[in-house]
Parts: sequence; C-alpha cells; structure tokens
Amino acid sequence: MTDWLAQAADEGPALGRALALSGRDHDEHAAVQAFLPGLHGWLRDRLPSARIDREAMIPADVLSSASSLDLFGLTIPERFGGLGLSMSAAGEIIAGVARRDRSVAVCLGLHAGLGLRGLVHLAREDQRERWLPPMAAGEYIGAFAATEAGAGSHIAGVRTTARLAEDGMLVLDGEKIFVTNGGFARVFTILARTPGLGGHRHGWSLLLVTRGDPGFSIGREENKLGIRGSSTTAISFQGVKLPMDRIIGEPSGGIEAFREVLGWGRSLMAFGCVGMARAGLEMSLAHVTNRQQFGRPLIAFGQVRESIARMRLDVISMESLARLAGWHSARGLEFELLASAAKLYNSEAAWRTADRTVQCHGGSGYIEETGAARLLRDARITRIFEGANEVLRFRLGCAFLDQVLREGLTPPPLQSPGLTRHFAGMANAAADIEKACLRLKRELGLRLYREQLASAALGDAAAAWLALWATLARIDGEITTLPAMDQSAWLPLADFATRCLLRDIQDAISHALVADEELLVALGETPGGNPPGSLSGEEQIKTRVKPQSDFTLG
Amino acid sequence: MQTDNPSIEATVHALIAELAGVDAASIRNQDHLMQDLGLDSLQSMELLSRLSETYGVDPDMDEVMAAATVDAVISLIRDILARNMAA
Ligand SMILES: Cc1cc2nc3c(=O)[nH]c(=O)nc-3n(C[C@H](O)[C@H](O)[C@H](O)COP(=O)(O)OP(=O)(O)OC[C@H]3O[C@@H](n4cnc5c(N)ncnc54)[C@H](O)[C@@H]3O)c2cc1C
Repeated sequence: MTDWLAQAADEGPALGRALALSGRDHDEHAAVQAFLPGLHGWLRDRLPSARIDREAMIPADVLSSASSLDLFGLTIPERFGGLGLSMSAAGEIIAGVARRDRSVAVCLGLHAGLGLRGLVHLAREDQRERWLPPMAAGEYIGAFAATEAGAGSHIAGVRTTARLAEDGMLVLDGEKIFVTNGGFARVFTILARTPGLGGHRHGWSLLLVTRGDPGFSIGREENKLGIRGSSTTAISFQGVKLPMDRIIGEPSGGIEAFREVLGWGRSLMAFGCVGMARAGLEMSLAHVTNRQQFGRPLIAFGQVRESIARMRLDVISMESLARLAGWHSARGLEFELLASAAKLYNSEAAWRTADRTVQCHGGSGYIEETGAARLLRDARITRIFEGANEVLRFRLGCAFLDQVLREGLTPPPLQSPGLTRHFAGMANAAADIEKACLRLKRELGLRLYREQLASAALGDAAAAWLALWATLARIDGEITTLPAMDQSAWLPLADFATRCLLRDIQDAISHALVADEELLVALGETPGGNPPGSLSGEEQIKTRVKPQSDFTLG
Repeated sequence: MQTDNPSIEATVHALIAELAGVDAASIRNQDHLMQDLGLDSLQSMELLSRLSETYGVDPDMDEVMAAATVDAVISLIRDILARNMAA
C-alpha cells in the first residue's frame, strides 16, 4: 500500500474527521472560524474587485489593510510575528479571498506559498530572523522567480547564473519572466544555476534577492487575460552581488528545494481554486433560482439542476482533496504527489465551474458586469501556472503507476454503514486502476515514460480516484460527527460523487488503454494541417513574439 | 540499432544534455544524475526509456532504477547489448 494510503489507513476514522475541519485540528479550525467574519467584512467593504480588474492593479490601501488583518503572515511561525497556520488553515483563508477576488488571492497566495516556503522551511535561523518579521507585517511582500524565456515547463533549463567571485561574493546575471508580485515585492526567492557550489559542477540553488540590490531591475507590468489586478513582471539581474548567506537551504540543493516549495505553492493554489468554484456556484445558484423561463425558474430544468449539482460536488471534492494534501503536510508526510493531484484536479474543476457559471447565466454571463466573465478569465491561468496541467498529468500518471505497481492501491475503510456501497465502488475502481497499471506496464514498459498519452490518462484516473477517496473520507467524517438529523444531506452527495467520479475514472482508464500515440504522430504528418498561406510550425516559432524585457530600475 | 561503445557514451551525453538543460561537453561520466545534473527519478526513467528505444533493448525496471550516475547508465546499455549479442 502506498505510504500516504498506509498512513491514512493507520489513522482510521480520524482522517475523515480531520478532513471535515478547516485546519490541522479542532483548535486551529476554531481559530480559522473566528478569523473568517473579519475577513468577510474586509472583503465586502474594502475590496473593489471590479475596479481592481478594470484598472489592472491592486490599490495600495488594499495591501495595507490586508497587512492589518495579518494576511501576509498566514504561514509565518508565530515567533516571527506571523499566524503560524497550517497549509489547510491558510488555504481556507486564501479560498475565502479567491471567492471574492482572484487578483488579491494570487498576490497573498503567492506570498504565503512560493514566496515564503523556502524561507520558512529551508532557511537558517539567522535568515529567518532577518527576513520573516517584515514579511509577516506586509512591509516586505514576497515573490518567486523560476521561469525564464527559455525555461518554463522545463525548469532545469534556467540560464540565470550566480558565480562565486574571488571576494567570496556571488555574482548573479540573468533574466526571469512572469514574476507574480514583481511590481511591488521586496523579497524575491529565485532559482539560479550555481556551478561549482556545494561541490556540484552543475548546481541549482534558491537565492534571496531584494529589490534594492544594485544591478536588480524590474520590467513593466504584463497585460493579462485574467487575474488582471495581480502584478506580473519580468525581473533582471546584471552583476548583482550577493553574500553567501543569500542562499536559501543547501548550496546547489535548488532543484530539490524548488520541488518542496512548489508542493506548498500548488496546494495553496488548489485551495484558491476552491474559492473560485464556490463563487461560481453561489452566483449560479442565485441566478437560476431567480431567473424564470418557460414559466419556471431555470433550476426546475434537469440539465440546469445537474449543472448546479456538479458544481456543488466539485466544490466539496476540490476542498477535500486540498485538505488531504494539507493533512499529509501537517504530519510531515510525503505530500508532493497529492499536491500535484490537487493542483491538477482543482484547476480543471475551477475552469469547468467557471464555464458552467457563464452558461447558467446565458447571455448575461457573457457581459462583464455580472462577474461571471471575470471569473472565467481569472480561472484560466490556474491550468497553466505552477506547472502546466499537461506536464502534471503525465508526471502524476508515471508516479502513480510506480506506486501502485510497488505497493498496490487499497482504500482505507470508511466507518459509516451508509457508505458501504460507495466504499465498494471506490475499491472496485482501485482494482481497475491496478489492472490497468499492470497491463500498461506489460504492453508499454519503459515507453510509458516517453510517450505521454497513456501516462497522462492514468494521471487523470489518479486525480479522480484521489478526489473520490478524499470526498468519501470527508463525508464519512462529517456523518460520524454530526447529529443524525443533519446527516441526511451528505448521503445524496456521496451517491452523486461516487457516480460522477467513478465515470471519470473509467473514462480515463479506457483512454489510457486505447491511447495510440503513433496514430497522432501520423496524423500530424498528413497534408492539410496548415491551410495555404499559413505559417509552418517552424516559421511560427521563429516569428513568436518575445516576452517584453524593457527594464526600469527597481 | 546502434551498438558501438564510443557512440553509446556520446548518445547518453546528448540525451542527458537535452533533458537536464546542460551542455553535453560539460557532462562527466562520474556525474550523479540527480545531484549533479538535476534529473529527478521520472526524468531518469525517461532517459532510459529513450535510450532503450534508440538501442532496441528492454532493460529490467530494477536495473533502470539502480542506475544513478552517467557511468551506470552507459554500463547498463553496454551490458544489455553485450548480453543480447551473446544470446
Ligand atoms: C500570470 C502568470 C503568473 C506567473 N507567475 C509566476 C511566478 O510567480 N513565478 C514563476 O517562476 N513563474 C510564474 N509564471 C510562469 C508559469 O509558471 C509558466 O508560464 C508555466 O510553468 C508554463 O511555462 P511556459 O509558459 O514557458 O510554457 P511552455 O513550457 O512553453 O509550455 C506551453 C504549453 O505546452 C505544453 N507543454 C509543455 N511541456 C510539455 C510536456 N512536457 N508535455 C506535454 N505538454 C507540454 C503545455 O500545454 C503548456 O501549457 C506565471 C505565468 C503567468 C502567465
């Protein structure tokens, strides 16, 4: 049985009860619940969401009032002035912000996740003492810069390099693009090559660079499709001199550290997606219960009802899966695979929910003023950043296959008698996944790691199965803690979750088993791909618009 | 199918260079795939997968997992080719 499944099985009914909480335990859950009314008041009174989108910037007073609410200290330990929240608790708050405004949620989420995780988790004590208190106070906002023009999904391709000079300083040169919070952040965690450091000829390290460092400059704001208020800029380094104590974690431990940091970033992003989906559900529900057509409210029509039901399920399954990653992280267990699954599943579901929201609103959904169009624009980025979903899907599929072949896939038992059928469905799906893994291994062997279709489809099956497990375990926890009269609402949700997610799993398995990459290659070579006069693939690459890189001094 | 040994080394270096984003000329045989070249376990599997396609071989999964350095990868391919020739 996989490590994370084994741990969950050991925990028994406690896992389900934990997934019903917005925090690592009851105390933290209570603290989050006490925090939320103030947050909601701030979101309602102080956050001009439509204006932020229209003017493509977050006003300074929003950032300063966010600091007064401690929103920049969510994940920073209390001894450095933060709230010291677990991933799940911080995620719940990010979700609450995303429900109202995605630009601000991305700003806070990036600061709390990618921007701070290296410092909080990997840095030395003196580095933490130096940097964390002003970051908790919101005086210094954090950013994270890995992506470069030539290194996006393939992050090992970064060219930004820090070399050790004779005076013992590191000298940093290079250029990063698409840096969230770039326009106003003060503390940047960056991934750079550090050849020779730590005894590694090819090394990558996480480095801390600040806005005031000589040779550091910031490009202009990108003009984006969605999350328009969030700041996205390029940054460049020209002979920036850094003392050795600006290395975060081990010298040349950067790729490993990057993955650890990314696990946090992805998990918080998965929580942000929950907030987006919840916003879509609430807007849609309000609209379809009020709007009448054919003499009836829209909700009276089966297809509309189904759409709303799927949104409801998506919100719960997304939240449960993100909490499952948070539960593992809070116990110091391996959670990167769950974080990838949560990022993949939740971003696809956020997009699906935003699309359903526009559809439920009909023509008015297409008009900016209702907010549905903005939700759709905002949701789109989640399938791209912090790892494009195609890359995650393939890698998740390969990693899941390895684990399933090594240790099997046996779901931990559920406690509630009312969930016996659901558990059986989940166990059968697990057995189907095991069989599919064995067959793919037999038929494709190592090809699974270079051809993508089967592995990627398996990644979808994995994400859907994990979502089903998290959802049923959470419902189990809700049922076993609620008085009998309140339990009934959860059982139809368990039925619907099992029906929908089993279908998703079966579709993904079928896709994996019939995947035919050679056919697609052949199709790509048949005539008719490019209409006459259009650019060939090669020409398109040559003429591709380069990301802007005109810099002003930061 | 390629079989000569110097070309095995060159092919392994070229593929690693592509996957790790480093210059082929800078790769040494004693380099560790993960610590020196930044390849994680899945990228190492992809490397072996692409090599097995190039050389038409079918390495055992355990042998593949155990190959942690550039040298070990080259030896693995050489050994399998030698075994296949002998068989
Ligand atoms: C608004 C915004 C904010 C961002 N914030 C940050 C930030 O704060 N810090 C940071 O470092 N980066 C940030 N990014 C960068 C983001 O993480 C990258 O854009 C993302 O990882 C994809 O890289 P790329 O754009 O180079 O796309 P590419 O790598 O060129 O990929 C393009 C597409 O090709 C496909 N693809 C690529 N590789 C594969 C593969 N192996 N298999 C199958 N399909 C593949 C995918 O569909 C992918 O979407 C941000 C980007 C945006 C737009």
